[in-house]
Amino acid sequence: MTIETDSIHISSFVVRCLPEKLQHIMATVEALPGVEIHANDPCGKFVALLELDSEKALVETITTIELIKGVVNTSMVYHHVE
Amino acid sequence: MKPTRRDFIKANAVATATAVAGISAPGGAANLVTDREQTELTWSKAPCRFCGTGCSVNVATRDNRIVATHGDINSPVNKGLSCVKGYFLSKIMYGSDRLTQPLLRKTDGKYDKNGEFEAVSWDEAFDIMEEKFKKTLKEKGPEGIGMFGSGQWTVWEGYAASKLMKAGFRSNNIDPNARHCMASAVVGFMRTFGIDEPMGCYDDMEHADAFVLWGSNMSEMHPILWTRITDRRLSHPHVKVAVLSTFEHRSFELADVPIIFTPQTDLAILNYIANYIIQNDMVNKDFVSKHVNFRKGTADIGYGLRPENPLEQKAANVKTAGDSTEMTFEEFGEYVATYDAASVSKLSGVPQSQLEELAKLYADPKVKVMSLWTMGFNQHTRGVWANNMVYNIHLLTGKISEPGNSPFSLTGQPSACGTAREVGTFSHRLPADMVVTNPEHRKIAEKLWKLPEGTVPGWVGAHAVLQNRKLKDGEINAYWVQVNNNVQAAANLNEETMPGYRNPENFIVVSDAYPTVTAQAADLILPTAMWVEKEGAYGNAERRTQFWHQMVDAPGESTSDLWQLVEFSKRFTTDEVWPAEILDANPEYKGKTLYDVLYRNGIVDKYPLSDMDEKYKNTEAEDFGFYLQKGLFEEYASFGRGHAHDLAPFDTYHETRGLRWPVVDGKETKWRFKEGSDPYAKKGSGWDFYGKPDGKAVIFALPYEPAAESPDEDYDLWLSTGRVLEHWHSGSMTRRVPELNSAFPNALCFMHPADAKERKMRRGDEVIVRSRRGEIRTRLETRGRNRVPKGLVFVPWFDASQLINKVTLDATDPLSKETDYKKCAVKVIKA
Repeated sequence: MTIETDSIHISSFVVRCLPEKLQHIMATVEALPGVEIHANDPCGKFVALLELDSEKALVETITTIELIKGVVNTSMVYHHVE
Repeated sequence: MKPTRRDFIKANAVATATAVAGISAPGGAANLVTDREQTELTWSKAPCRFCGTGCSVNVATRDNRIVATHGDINSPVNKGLSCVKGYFLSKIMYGSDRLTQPLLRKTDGKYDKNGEFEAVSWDEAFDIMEEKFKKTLKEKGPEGIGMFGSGQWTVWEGYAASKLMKAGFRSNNIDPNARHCMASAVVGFMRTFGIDEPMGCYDDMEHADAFVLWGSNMSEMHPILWTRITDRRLSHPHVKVAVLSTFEHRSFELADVPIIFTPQTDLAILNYIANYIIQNDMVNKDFVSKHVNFRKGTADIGYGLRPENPLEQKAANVKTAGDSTEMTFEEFGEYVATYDAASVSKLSGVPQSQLEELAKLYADPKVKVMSLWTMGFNQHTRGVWANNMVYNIHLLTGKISEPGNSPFSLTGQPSACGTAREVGTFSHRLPADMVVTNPEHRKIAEKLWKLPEGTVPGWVGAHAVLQNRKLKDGEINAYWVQVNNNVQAAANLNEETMPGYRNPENFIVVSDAYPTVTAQAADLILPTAMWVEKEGAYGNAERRTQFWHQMVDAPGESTSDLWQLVEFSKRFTTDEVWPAEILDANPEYKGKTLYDVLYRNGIVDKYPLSDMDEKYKNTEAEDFGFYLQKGLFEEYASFGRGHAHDLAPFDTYHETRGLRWPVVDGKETKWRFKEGSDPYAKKGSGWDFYGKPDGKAVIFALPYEPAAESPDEDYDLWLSTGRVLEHWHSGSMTRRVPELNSAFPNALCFMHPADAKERKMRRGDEVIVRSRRGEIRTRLETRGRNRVPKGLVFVPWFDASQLINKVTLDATDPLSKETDYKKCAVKVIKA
C-alpha cells in the first residue's frame, strides 16, 4: 500500500532464496539500515520488515536485496505510512 | 508516531507477510485496519494495470483520488502479494505531465502538420479528425484509414473499436500492439490446436515436477508467478527448474539446469528433444495414435521484410509459408533424426550433457512438465515454429491438459488475451477465433451485430508492421492510435515508422494519458482516461476475465478510449461510408449514423442505467444514457457462448476475482481439452482437441533456419532487447513513478567484461550502439542483473531518451507478422 506523503514507511515483504544460502542472506539483509528480519522458513524464505523515511530509500533497499546472489524473488505484502 | 503504535503497525506488517508467505498463519491479520486515515478510505478491487499475470489489487480512494493499493489476499492469482511495480500502482495516474486537453498542431490558428501543439476543444478535435477521415475514405476507400490499438484496451474498448473499424468504416486495417508480443503464440495455437490460448492455468505451478523457461525472464517480468514457481521448487526438493536464454538473467538464480544458447538455435534444441524422445522409445504411443496428426511444414519462408529486400527475393516459399503436408510418425522421426546431440550442441553452444538433462525432463513419463515462454519465443522470425515445436514435445509425450503437464504461453499485456485475442482486434480476426476471410464467419458477425450481409469486408487488413510501411508509402492516410506507444516500440524507427508519421499526406491521431514519443509524433493528441478512471475488463494469460468499476474521475477533459470511439461514430452516416448496393438492398439503414447502427442496435443499448452499481460512477454510461459497457459485453459474449468461449453473465464478474473461460453452467474451466475437466471434451475421448475437425492436435515437422541478421565482420555483436523489473514496456507509466524511475532511470548496454576490454571500454563509459539502421548513445554495464555471454549485448527499451528501436530490425515471422526484437547485428564503439 502506498500513501502519498513523506514520513515513516513501515513495509513488510517476503524474500525467497536458495535454502543453502538462507542464513548467509538473512545476515546480509539484516545488516542493511532500517531492516529487521522476522519469521523464516528453512525451505528458503523469510519475512523482512523495513522501516525507512522515504519511498526512494525503500525501493533502493529492495533493489539491493533483489540483487544479492542467491535471492530468487522479493514480493511486497504490506506498507504503512504516516 | 508513538512507540506503542509503531510496534503495533510493525507487528501487523509482519503478521500479514508471514500469513501470505505461509510461514505461519495468524488469523485475520491481513485485514487489520485500525488507524483513522485508513478508515476514511474506500476500497475496491481491480486487476493490475501492468502485465498479463492479472494480479488482483485492492485500490483505496479518498476525495476522488487513488491513494493506496495492495495485493488482494482473496485473489487466486497473487494471493495477497504484489511486485514492486504493482506496489506503486496508485501513482501511475498522477504523473506531472498528464494530458488534460486535446492538442492539435497549429499555425496561425489553423491545423498545420508542421505547427506546434495547441490546446483545442473536443469539438474542434473531432471536427478536424472527421474531416481527415472523410477525405481519406472518399479518396481511397476503407483501405486508406487505419487504427492501431492495444492489449491494454479494456474488453469493450477493443470490441467497440473493432466494430467501428470492421463494420462501421468497413476497414480491416485495425491491429493491436499485441502483434508485437503475442501474434506468434496465437498462430502457434491455431496451427497446432485450431483454437487460441493456453489449455492449462496457473494451478499447474503447484503440480509440476519440472519447469522449463524458454526465452522468458519470469523473475523480472512475471515476478508474482515466479514466487509460485519458487515456492513449489523450494518446498519440493525433487522439483527441477531449467532456464534457457541467450544470456544469464535473474531467473537463473533458481535454475537447476541453466542453459545459455546461441540466438536462434532454440529451434534446433526443440527438435533435438523430439528426436531424443523418439530415439529412446519414450513416445506416449497410445496418446499419439489417438490424439495427434503429423504434418510437414513449409520451410525457407523468408523474414517478413519488404518484398524487394534481398532476403525475401532469395526465400523460396514466401507466398506459401503457412502450407503443410501430411506425414507419418515414422517420417517425422526421420525428419528430426538429424538433430542429434553432437550437431545441436555444436550449433547451439550448449554442452551435450545439458541437452540430455533437459530432454530427460520431458521424456521421463513420471515427471510432470510445465513449459513457459514469452518474448524469447514469440519475438522470433520463426516464432510460430517455436510455439509449434514446444507443443510437439508435449504431444509426443502426452504431457498436456493435466495438472502440472502444461505448455504455457505467458502474456505481456494485461488484456492481450482478453481483448486483442478473444475480441479479435487483429487485422484478420473476428470474435471467438473467427476470421474475416471466412464468409460464414462474416455472416455470423453481421447477424449478431444486426447489420446487412456484406458489411464486413473479407480482405485481410494491414498488420502492425505493414501499417507503418503503408503510412510511409502514403497508402494509409488517416490513422488513429490508442493505448500504445508504437513510435517507441516498432522496430526500425528511422527508416519505417517516423517517415510514416511525419508523411505530409497523413493525419495521425494518438489517444494517450501522457505525451509519449508517439503522441509527440502525432498531429492530434486526445487526452485519455486510464485504468480505474473508467469501468473496465481485462483477460489474463490463464483465460481469466476480470472486471473493475470506475473509482475516480479522469483529470481535466480526459475521456476514455471507449467514449472517444463511440462519440466519434456519431459523426458518420451510413450514406457516407457504405456502398450504395448495401444500402439499396437494405434501405432501413439509410441515413443512419454509425452510432445508431453499431451501438444503438437494441443490444448494446439494451441495459438501463439502473443496472449499474449505485456505489460507482460510470462516465460513459451516464453520457450516452445506457449501460454501454454491459451492452457491449453481452453482445460480444454472444459470439462465444455455446462455442467453447463461454463467458459468464456481465454482473457475475463484478462479484468475483475473475473466472476462466469457458464458463459453463456457472463453472470455470481449468484444463481444456481433457475429458472431465473441460465440458466441451467429448465423453470417452480422454483428450479432445476439438479446435480441429477430427479432434486431433498437430505435430509439425519444421527445421532450424538462421536469423534474418547475424553478426559479421562489420557488425560483430548480437543485440537483444527487452525489459527490466522496474519498468513496464515503453515506460510511459513506470517512468512517471519517481521511485521506480530513480531505481532504474536510464537504459544501459549490458556487455561481457571481456568484450568491453577488447574494445578498450570500461563500465560506465558512454558508448554508441550502432546497426545498419541507426544508433543510440548509452552507458556500458558489465555487471549487474544481466550477465551476457561474449558476442551479445542487451539493451532494455523502456527509455524514451535512448530509443533502441532506431537500431533494431523490422524482420518479422512471415506467419505471425511479429517482429524479432531479440536478434540483429550491431557494433558498440566508444562515444
